[in-house]
Amino acid sequence: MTKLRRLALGFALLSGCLGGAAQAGPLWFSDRPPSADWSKHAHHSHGGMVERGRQGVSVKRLWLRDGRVPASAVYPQFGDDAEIAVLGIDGKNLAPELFKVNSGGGITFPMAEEGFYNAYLIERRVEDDVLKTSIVKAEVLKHSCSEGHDPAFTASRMPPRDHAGIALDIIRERRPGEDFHTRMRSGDELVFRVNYNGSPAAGAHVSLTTQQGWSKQVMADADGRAVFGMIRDYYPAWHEFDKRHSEAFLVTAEFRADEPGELHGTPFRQAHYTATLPGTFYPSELEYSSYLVGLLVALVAAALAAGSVFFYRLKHGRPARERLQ
Amino acid sequence: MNRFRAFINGADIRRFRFWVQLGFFFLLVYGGYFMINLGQSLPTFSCGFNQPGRAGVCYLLPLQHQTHIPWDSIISGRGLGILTGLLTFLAWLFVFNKAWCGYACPLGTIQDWMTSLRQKLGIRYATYNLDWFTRLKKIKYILLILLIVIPFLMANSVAGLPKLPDDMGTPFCKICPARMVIPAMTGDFSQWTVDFSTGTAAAMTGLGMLVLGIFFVGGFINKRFFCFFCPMSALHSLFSKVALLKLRKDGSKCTRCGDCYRACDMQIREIADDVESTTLVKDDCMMCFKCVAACPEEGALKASFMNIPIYESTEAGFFKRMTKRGKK
Repeated sequence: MTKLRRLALGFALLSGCLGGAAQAGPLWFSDRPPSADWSKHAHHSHGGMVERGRQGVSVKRLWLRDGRVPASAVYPQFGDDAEIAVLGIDGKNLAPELFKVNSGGGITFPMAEEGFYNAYLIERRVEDDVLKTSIVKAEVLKHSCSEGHDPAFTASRMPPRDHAGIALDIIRERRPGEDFHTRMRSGDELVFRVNYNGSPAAGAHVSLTTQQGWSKQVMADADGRAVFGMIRDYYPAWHEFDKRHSEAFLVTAEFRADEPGELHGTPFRQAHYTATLPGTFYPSELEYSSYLVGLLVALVAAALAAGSVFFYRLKHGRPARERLQ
Repeated sequence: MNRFRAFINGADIRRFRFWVQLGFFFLLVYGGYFMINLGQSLPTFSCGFNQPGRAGVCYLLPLQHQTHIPWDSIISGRGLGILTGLLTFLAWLFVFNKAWCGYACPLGTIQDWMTSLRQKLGIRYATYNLDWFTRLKKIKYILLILLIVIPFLMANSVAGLPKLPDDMGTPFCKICPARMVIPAMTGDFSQWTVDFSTGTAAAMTGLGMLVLGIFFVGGFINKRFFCFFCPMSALHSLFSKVALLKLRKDGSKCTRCGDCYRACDMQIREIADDVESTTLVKDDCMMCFKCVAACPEEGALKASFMNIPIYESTEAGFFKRMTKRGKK
């Protein structure tokens, strides 16, 4: 089964490379490189893979992906007319660099400060009198433990940001007590807010697809919120279990609006927006941690220690002196 | 001035220490809820796993992270990070010396509370004989070496041997009872588990729970049981000679009555026997100054800060304390 999956994935990657920008599903950003060669350039950090840039500044490389299922999504090239922006901690545009290589394309940008960066790629085209807009978003964390863990600083950098000018924006709401080290795990409840031109996009179709293709679709409520419970999507053999195994998920929001207009002289009657936001989740701690065994070990150790002291004292009945303290 | 000095020297160090310890306990265990952050190089067990309650991080946690470093990165920003962390740790230690153990350490305070409970229950305490004392006191140095070497061997292959597995990361924290006990003070018992994700993780977290079980019994029966094996104490002792706070002894005034030794929770024999040294901060000393309070000889023992005596043994102070205790 695993071999078949790998074969399918390999075929999908190959067809993606050969097919260039042919789109099978929504576009989205990913920091997972397409090949082992590219992996060598990056290392793991809180917030995903990063590269080392000039003067030691962390550099994020985001690859464009195409396809609804993360495991089989291809690495296309992006169109020349795509608009790209990366908004830093202070909301200013960081002017990302574009890259195109044989195995795909994407953007890179430096992350000098701790916190969340929002990268956007927007593509527009008119088809059948409908303006089709793809809004590809990635929310990227930069954190290094060497820069400290000031709770006041962390709290100030945690809230998600709304950006004016983004027609359809998916915003992941923070979990209670979330900080730079928090990982999303199977069993967690994730909440996303979808905004249309800064207001809640009530009624937007929001779907979440996990790495292996499990998917759920909900409709955003009056506040634009969509809630998903993360399923378990990782079933290795017991001896192969890896608690650090990360799986990607992809959130897609679609919203249609009656908005006549024109794009580069081509008129349209309606606008259809598709926004994507990827994320990463890990196995639940309950899958590999046992309170019962932990308490048993501690209790047995305590009982043995107490028993040893008791019997030692029975054998050596010498009272200790305790005074002057 | 003389009356003020007599008042200080006649003070009940136990009560003073109780309140200072309580203050530090609340600061270091719950200070994070009030956005207090004293950094991540504290020379005491302000456990990093106690989130969000901690008001700073025990230096041993970042030290183990920082020494997880490849050879070729030592001369780089990461190497500088190790140096910065060490210098910050030393700055804290330079001021208060090993009083961090006697007055600030939350795990030490919990052990003192366990001792108080034992005393109230009328259960007698345990001591080590000299032979065991000499052998066991080396353990903290071995732990200190291991907590630096193991992360380094996780990042580097030495003599062609494979690197140690990642699950050995922060090895001392895995077996330190503070990881379980301190977060539990805020209602967080998430560390009281055995992690079965890999054999290494299961062994390390299982060992941690084993140490926790022994800690509860040991800490109840033996005064400051864990401090005897604490690598933080070993790290302190490497630098304690240069610190501003000192425990001084005037051997010419010492009668070797042994009261100071009997008052010492750490069983430091030299405090009574050594009449040659003028500074007596031994590697196990936690600078609680109970020895100063127990000494009846005028000026034989004194705590000094920047060579200025701040608390010294006096006959009047000794009898004042003894009379007070006798009334109780």
